[in-house]
Amino acid sequence: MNIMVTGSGGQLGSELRAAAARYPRWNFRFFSHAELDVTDAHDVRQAMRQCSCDVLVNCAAFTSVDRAEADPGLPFRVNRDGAGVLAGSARELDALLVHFSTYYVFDGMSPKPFREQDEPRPLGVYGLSKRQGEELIGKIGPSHMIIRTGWLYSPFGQNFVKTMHRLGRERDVVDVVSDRVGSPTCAEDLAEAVLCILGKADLQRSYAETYHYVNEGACSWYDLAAAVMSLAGLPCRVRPIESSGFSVSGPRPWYSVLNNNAVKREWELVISHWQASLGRTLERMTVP
Amino acid sequence: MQKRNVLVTGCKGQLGSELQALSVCSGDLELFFYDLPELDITRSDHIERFCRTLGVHAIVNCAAYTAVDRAETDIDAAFLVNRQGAAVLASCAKEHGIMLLHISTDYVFNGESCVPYRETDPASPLGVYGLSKWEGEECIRQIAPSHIIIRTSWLYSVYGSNFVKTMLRLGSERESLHVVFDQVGTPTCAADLAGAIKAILERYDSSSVYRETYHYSNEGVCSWYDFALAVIQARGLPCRVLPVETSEYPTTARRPHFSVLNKGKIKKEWELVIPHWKASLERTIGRMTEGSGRQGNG
Repeated sequence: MNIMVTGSGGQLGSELRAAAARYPRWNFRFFSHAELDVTDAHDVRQAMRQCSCDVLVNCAAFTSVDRAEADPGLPFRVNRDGAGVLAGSARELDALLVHFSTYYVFDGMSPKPFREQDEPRPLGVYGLSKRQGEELIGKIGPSHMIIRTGWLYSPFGQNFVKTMHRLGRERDVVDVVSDRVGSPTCAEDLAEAVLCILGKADLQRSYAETYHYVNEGACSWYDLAAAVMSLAGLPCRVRPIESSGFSVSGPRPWYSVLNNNAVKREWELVISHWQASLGRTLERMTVP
Repeated sequence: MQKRNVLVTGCKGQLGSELQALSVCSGDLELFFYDLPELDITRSDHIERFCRTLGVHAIVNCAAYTAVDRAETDIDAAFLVNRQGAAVLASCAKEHGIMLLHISTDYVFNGESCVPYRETDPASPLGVYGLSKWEGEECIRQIAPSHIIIRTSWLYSVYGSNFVKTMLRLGSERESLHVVFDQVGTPTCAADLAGAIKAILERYDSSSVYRETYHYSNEGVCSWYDFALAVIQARGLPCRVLPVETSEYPTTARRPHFSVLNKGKIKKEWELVIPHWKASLERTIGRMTEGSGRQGNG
């Protein structure tokens, strides 16, 4: 199986690269943003042909929620148009497209975990651009799996866990919002799940699936920050605050727990509790 | 210095027991603890007698009907204790010009929110228990000139029966446990709540009139599944905890999906620092282990 990964410099791409070593029978080709622009249809098609691509895993995305509000051009280009380009090429070359999306497609106005069939209603530019990318993939119709995830972290790139880990070493106290609830997701677990699904998938079949993948459990950002400090043994105090006292420019959903039952059942996955995976990731981060 | 005598009703319950476990008197405060059968909060003659003989300055009501599922069919008993009992206490508080501190619940809300509940959010109980507690609150607001109502959630302690103790028991009997992941809230350590009540009793001004409702739970948010897992891990039990949906685990009474309480008001007005739920859970489980160790040695 020939697997091509776009946006390989990001968190998920980096974890897929690390996980690829455990799948020696598959051929992986990784393309960072600098190596392949997913909005360039010509380059994408050419790269896919060169790889004899069976599976295209798209980890490329514009993920800065705040910057998306200020400058909507780029998020729509990458998250919507890029998804369309990849879907078109995947369809043309009969490849399976695995695409990642986000809880930001929902409005966060639910009291219980979002299911795949719940009505999307993005609150801002980032969520809308991701939702339109999902819709475009569905419309163009290659064999595809869209995996929505939440609160992603890893030892790579920029993420909340890394920020807290740094602040925990620099400060005596940090204030973190306690009124937004969601599911932290370890990018390593998600990468492993994707490869596990690919190992079981029938590439002769045409898929049109949307799944929710998050680690098990729910917490607030404050709980996540407190867990980082306690698992990393940092003496920094974490104080819970309300969102109103913390200004952010991009609209964020209040409640973003995703129901991961469908992906677990269909692919027989066992998903770790967020805290177990967080502990593992923090250990990887501290090993020199 | 004149002593301030406080009558604690329902003292054999979780919260009453934790109040007793705190130092019984501090400064000018003295707490008197009673429960059934001597003190029935639905009997005004009982309350009257205690108020008069003790010269009570405040009542802390820890008595309640809390069996959420049973309440659905045992409606009269739930309303008798939670509404009628509250009304009797409120009338007595009014007559004697004393403050009534009453405990209520997240069940007064329907749990359809996605933002932590504030004291000012409209009540809309899903079942008999929540409705009986809400009507009890309303009786107190109408009758008792000076009152403090504290709503709490997911209460546990080393006393009585509660979720933590149930999980510890099941966790040592079974290889796996299924617990709902689609209901989120915050556990409340009854010892922490007792500490907050004590702080209020020590600081309140008996010449002032209070008409306040507060929310109190520990800090943080989790699902029942996360809560169960933390219990099992704190004791190091080899039991697996698996998340299930509410629909896979039907109960008689409907339960709120979201019951996180916003504690900003009580923290600010009474200058409280509330511990994270996990820290308090680990402390409580430690106390349980100590307790059983003593029993074993005795």
